Amino acid sequence: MEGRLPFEQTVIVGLGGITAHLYVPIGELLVHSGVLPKSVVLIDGDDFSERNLGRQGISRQDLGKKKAEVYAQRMGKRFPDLSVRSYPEFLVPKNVEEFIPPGSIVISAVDNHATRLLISKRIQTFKDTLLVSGGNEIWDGNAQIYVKADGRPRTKPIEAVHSEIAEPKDKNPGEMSCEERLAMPGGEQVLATNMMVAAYMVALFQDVVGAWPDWSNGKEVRKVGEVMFDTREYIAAGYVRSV
Amino acid sequence: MEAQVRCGPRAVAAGPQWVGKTVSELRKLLARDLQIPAGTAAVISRFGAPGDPVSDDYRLTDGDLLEFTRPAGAKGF
Repeated sequence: MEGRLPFEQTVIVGLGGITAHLYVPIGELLVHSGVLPKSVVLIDGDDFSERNLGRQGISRQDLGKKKAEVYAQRMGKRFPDLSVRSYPEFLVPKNVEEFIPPGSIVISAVDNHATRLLISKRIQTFKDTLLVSGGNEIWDGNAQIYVKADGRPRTKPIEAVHSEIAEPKDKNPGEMSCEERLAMPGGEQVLATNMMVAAYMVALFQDVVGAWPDWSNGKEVRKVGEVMFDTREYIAAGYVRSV
Repeated sequence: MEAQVRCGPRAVAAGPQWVGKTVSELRKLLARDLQIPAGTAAVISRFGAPGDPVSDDYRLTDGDLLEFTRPAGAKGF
């Protein structure tokens, strides 16, 4: 790949079960691609708790610690060539402009549609941007992209065929009270499903980075923009979401 | 002459039997096989082009790919 992409940093939002399997391959790509920025920003207001054990590579010693700080330490240690910053806060309307400035690639692994819409609306204002977003239920999940190159959207926004994101019925965790957050159901999660989302997010990211030169030169690029899968049935399908 | 119907990772074989049917009819007919979530949106793509939402009275024509969308995952913690 020749020529640096027009980005200054990669922002990873949501540091849960998906990011536990995503931060190493993303770090490898950032360090070794030669075209991506070597600066990472990690955002999550949550602490590690008992329900994270067994899926997120943590031990009891990590319980109660801020996820953003733990991941920043891990990533900095594993990838000394990366500049890693962390914000142990939830992404909300009042901090989104500061935390996701123009020039950002965004990797979203959040668990709510309200934050997905906030990210999507923010990055649609940029001249160049790249979003990879993923999420899962117990056995099924999805990964999707949004690409805007040289001021021109090249894929549909992630909410275009997802009404649950366009009109979220859930709440941004940063806008909940402590009592509301504690009352949120943890929900059963499956390690393999988290890993599958992460794998498809990395695949889409790598695919988009490879296609960027064509996109930025105005060429017609028709790529899979969303992958949906079911871990238990061992099936997956890709959908074109180009504009 | 053929059309295809999908929902998330699931699909039924492409064929002529879907051409001429409405989205509403297919939603009922394939609800179980494709595990179509209630009230989900329908999107039509043609010849690999990106899809556009359609209403339930849309009737499939040759070359259509009907996608019943599945919500993005939202499991936390």
